[in-house]
Amino acid sequence: MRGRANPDVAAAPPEPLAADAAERAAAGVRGEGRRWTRLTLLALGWGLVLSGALLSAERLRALPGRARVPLDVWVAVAALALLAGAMGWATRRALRPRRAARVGDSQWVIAGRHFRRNRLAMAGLAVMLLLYLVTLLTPLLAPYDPAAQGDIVRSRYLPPSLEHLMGTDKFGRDVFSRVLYGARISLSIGFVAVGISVTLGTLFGALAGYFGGWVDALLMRFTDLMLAFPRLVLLIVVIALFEPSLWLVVLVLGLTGWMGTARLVRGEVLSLREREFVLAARALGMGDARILFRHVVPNTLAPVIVSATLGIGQTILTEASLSFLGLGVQPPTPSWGNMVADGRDQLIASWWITTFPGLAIVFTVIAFNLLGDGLRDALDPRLRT
Amino acid sequence: MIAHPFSPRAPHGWARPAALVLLLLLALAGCRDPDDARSAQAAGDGEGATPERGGVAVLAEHIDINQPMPLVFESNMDGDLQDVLYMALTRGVWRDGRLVYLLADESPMALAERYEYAGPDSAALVYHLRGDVRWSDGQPITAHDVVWTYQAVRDPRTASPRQDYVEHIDSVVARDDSTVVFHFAHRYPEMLSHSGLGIAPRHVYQDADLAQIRSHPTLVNPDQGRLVVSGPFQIGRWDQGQQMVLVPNPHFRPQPHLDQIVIRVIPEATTRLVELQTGAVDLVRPVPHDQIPTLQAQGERIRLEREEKRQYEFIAYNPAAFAPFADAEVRRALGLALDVPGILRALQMQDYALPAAGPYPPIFRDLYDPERMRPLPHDTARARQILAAKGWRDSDGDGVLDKDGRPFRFTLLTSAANPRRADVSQIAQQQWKRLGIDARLQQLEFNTFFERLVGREYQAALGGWAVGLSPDLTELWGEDSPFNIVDYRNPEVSALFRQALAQPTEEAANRYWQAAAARLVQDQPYTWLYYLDQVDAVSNRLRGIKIDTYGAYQNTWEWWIPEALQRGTPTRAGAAPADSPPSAAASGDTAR
Amino acid sequence: MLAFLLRRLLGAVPLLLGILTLIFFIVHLAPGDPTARFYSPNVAPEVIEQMRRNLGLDQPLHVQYVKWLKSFLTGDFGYSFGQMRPIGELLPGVLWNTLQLTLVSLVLIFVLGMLIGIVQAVRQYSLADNLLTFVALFFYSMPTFWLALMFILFFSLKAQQWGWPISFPASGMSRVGAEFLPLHAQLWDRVVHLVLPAAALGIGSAAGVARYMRGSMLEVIHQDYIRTARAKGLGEARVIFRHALKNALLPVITLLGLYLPFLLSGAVLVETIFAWPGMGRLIVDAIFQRDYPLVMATSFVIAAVVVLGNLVADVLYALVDPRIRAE
Repeated sequence: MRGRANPDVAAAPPEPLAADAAERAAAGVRGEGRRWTRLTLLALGWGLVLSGALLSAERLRALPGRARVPLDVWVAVAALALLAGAMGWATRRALRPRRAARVGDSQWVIAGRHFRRNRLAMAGLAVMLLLYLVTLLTPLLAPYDPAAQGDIVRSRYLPPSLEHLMGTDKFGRDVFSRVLYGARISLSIGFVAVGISVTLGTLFGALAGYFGGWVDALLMRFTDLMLAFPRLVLLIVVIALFEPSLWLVVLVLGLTGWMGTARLVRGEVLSLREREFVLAARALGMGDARILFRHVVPNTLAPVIVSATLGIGQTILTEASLSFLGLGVQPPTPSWGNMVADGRDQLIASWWITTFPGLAIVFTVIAFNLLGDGLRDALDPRLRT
Repeated sequence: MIAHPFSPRAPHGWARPAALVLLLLLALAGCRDPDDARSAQAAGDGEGATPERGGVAVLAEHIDINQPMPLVFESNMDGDLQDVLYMALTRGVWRDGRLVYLLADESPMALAERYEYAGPDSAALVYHLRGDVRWSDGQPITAHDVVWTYQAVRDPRTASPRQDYVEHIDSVVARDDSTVVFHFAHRYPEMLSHSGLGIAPRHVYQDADLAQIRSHPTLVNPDQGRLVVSGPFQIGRWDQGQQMVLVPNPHFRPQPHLDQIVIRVIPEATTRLVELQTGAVDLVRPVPHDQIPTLQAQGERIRLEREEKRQYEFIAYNPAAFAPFADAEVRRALGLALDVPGILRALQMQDYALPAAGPYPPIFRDLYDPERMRPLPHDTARARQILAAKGWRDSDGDGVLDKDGRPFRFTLLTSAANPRRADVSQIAQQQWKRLGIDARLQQLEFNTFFERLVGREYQAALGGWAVGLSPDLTELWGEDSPFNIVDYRNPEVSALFRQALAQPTEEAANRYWQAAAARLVQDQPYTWLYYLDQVDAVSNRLRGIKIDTYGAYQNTWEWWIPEALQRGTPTRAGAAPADSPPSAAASGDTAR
Repeated sequence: MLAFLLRRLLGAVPLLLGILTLIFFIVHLAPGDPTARFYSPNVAPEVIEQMRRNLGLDQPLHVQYVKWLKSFLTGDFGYSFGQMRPIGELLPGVLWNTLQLTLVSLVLIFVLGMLIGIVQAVRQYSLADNLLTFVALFFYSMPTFWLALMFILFFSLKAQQWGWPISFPASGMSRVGAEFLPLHAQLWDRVVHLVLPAAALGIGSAAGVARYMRGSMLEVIHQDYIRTARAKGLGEARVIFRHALKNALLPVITLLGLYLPFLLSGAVLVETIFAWPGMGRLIVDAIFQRDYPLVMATSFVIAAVVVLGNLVADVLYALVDPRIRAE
């Protein structure tokens, strides 16, 4: 309809060399542009690796001699090495020719192709990977200790400058370093909480959908029960009544977010249950558990991944709301949520204290949402043009 | 190509609704406040100008009023409202560093014309009441109300928090309608204070079930004047969680100048300050200290007043939960490691707080002794010496002091509700870290925090106490007091307490209190951090308000607003107040 | 049909009971004591004990549970510890306050969201689509309280300081003295006070609805019958609004169902910031004060509304889709 080639079916007969040549010929100018994009990205990636290596050398040299190098610095160095390796692999692959679409491609390969064409989704993926990297490399990237207060009177409320890229907060702590360390906390909370929810949700949904009957009825009633509670209220009730701590927050977030996934998985399993491969497996005498977890569930993963991705963004926002009420991550541990909440009485006067972590939240959540949307578009055939 | 409204050549598809929305927003335009220009002029009027009638004062508080009745009130907000609603036998004011009890000739809130000591040992007080005072429902206020009030407080069914008032009272008897006698167990300095409780109307409550008095209809629905009071204002309207409107009590003399006082509940601090700056609200208390510079920049429109040094903040050490705290020298070292003046500067509180030396802030003229009791200096070297002498060294190079294999690591609790204390705890943590002391912070929601304190389930805690206006230290330091949160026991100090309580006069008792305080400071069961002024911000519109150590609601009948600044807030249905200024918009409302 | 309805109704009853029990035990088993707020240096332990007796807290947990359940089921929601008044008196007013805010907000969310979604679907992958996606996502991803505070600062404080023609009140439901104004003025006053909170509450969620609407419209637009309609020569507007929209609306109506909990408690932070006396704020205050009866009553009301709302939605669906009835 808009002149885009349908990537699901090859335009040429299945003769590898001819198809390749045909595609390259058909690509023409577009192929050139793609190559330049790839080269630029490779260059940027190598630049990142090299500068990372330089920074870490600098940081390692600056550490006091007697102090043991903390574990997370080793992790960061390992991550840097891995990154270098990944860049090497990417470079090698970029130099190899691209494979044309084939009829027998699996669902994941097709989805990957769609995904790559969606620029916004790719941007989301890039941001997510960047965040991952930042989280791992934080000890090398952060110029200051996030809890170091310095001479408070002289160094508080400094606007962004060369020494303090994002300014300082009321205690004279460097906001940039806190944003970096806060990334670790906020993202970890997001991942772990969503991990818990998705696991629980898949479990409940699969059991309910597969076994049906009273198991289904019981589990679904329980799901309805949990859904009837407004999540934020339940969170506040539990965290306020028991004492706020990082693990409690993560746990409660995880335990209150599984319902959507459960329903989703149940729906998928219900429709998959009657398919031939399941009947065949049963005829072969496989046990229910094995059928369920090795054959049925993996096929339900597509929508689960989408909802997980979206859930991470939502969890980060919920943690920010909890921090506003004093129930989130406790100081002095920085999390983006509690940085935004803490800076709220200086919203205009010292705007950098709230704005930078706030923007970090916004862009992270946007990235995850774009990623999730892209995954959904790529994995659901009905949504492709 | 079919031309359709959504093609790029015809952009008005979305533009039209957008324009509509814009128009709508413009139509919601509020007029600028026509009073702004006038207020700039009127602010020139100084104090001492003649009060003018009328006007509505709007106050912002962060929590709602709960149970504004002398027998049962608990919160500070309710306590403040007692000053406005109920008269008492005498009226306390803070003058020259001590609490003075005024009688009817000096304060319209005092019921008694005169009093005298009577009986053997002068352990009885006889009050002679004014004859001309009435409740808001017209009934006369008599000695029988006083008797009933004190009986109700003593009755265990009421579970009144005012037990300290009646602890030493044997009986309260009405000789006649205007004379009441208090029989105390012995003569002691607080007799006047303890007979100064707000008086409740007997005729309203005498038939009520005391155990259920908190659900009495006058307390559940106090508006429209159903709550019978004796002070200058009564409750006109109460929208729970939103606002309480106080209207003048027709039976109070002198009649207040204002038409209404509206107390609005605004939980979020930023919003309270915005409302103050836009002029929607006239008083905000308290103001966080780091907002003071912003408010000062407002210049003429807002002035800042202090309620002096009515609280102090401290770090309490619980030896039962962390053995190293049992040694007074160690506690002293922890105190020496803190740079309190630096903390105050860091939090921009240096103008409003004073490093604390002990339990008596400077407001107590007779008890504050800067010579004998000084705040701990900031002396990291000395702190290190003390700890080293006690055997604390960093033997494993991890930056934390240890002894016998155990690190100097404990948890410091604070209340999450108080951002200032949270801030101080973070700075304290850093300052201790330089010494090798590892303090972990934990913020708890207020109820839980308080419970942990009282239950002594904490290692160290950063808290604050409001300073009572009496010198009695036994609440916090008495051996059996539930609020002795560090379980402080020192026979010498307890003996001094006993002697102080046994003295008949204030002057005699004060010597013992001072001695006890000095001993306390030596023992350092707390590190006293600083005494704090509560800063209130008042719009210059509101005149005649007296704010000092005693509070902000002391003289509500004297508050007034210059006529030029009265906003013409409607106070009666239909009738436009005669003094309303002409407003620019047709609707006559300002959207503010 | 009737059987289906009855089955669902009967299913709702144990659900509600389960909710009641869950709330009761969470709240009572947590540490913290409602009488803690009565502690003060002047209060003797006997007094606290008396308070506990007055409030019925001295009895064993299961006894309290049964007593509470009985009174609850007979419609007596009990007394709030914090406010010392019957909860039945307290709730309707607060509910109405919240509904004013959330209903207006919901209208904003869905109208704005649907409009944006339709524009995006019709102009898929164009600049407008990408731009709107980005802007919508931007607001969707902002913490609500940050947005609310920014609104107050810009449209209330700064608007007045910088002399803009429009300036909104920063808090409250109505101006001081509003009760004495004529009805139309009161209504206007309320609208003016609703603008900022409803916008802060609604803008983020509108973006969510927009994305959903976009997806749903896209699905419908690519169907054959739309192509047929176009081929028939019908104007684009008619195609979109009369044919596509109707079918695209169905999933969005499901979304409406998901917003039911939001109706009563989604505005916790906004209510606190704007000093709006609603359910969300009431619950949070009740939790912090350990006001058990109020926490339980409000949670129950919210949960009951959601359960009943889902029931109604299910019934509507069954009416529309015969396949479900057969289940």
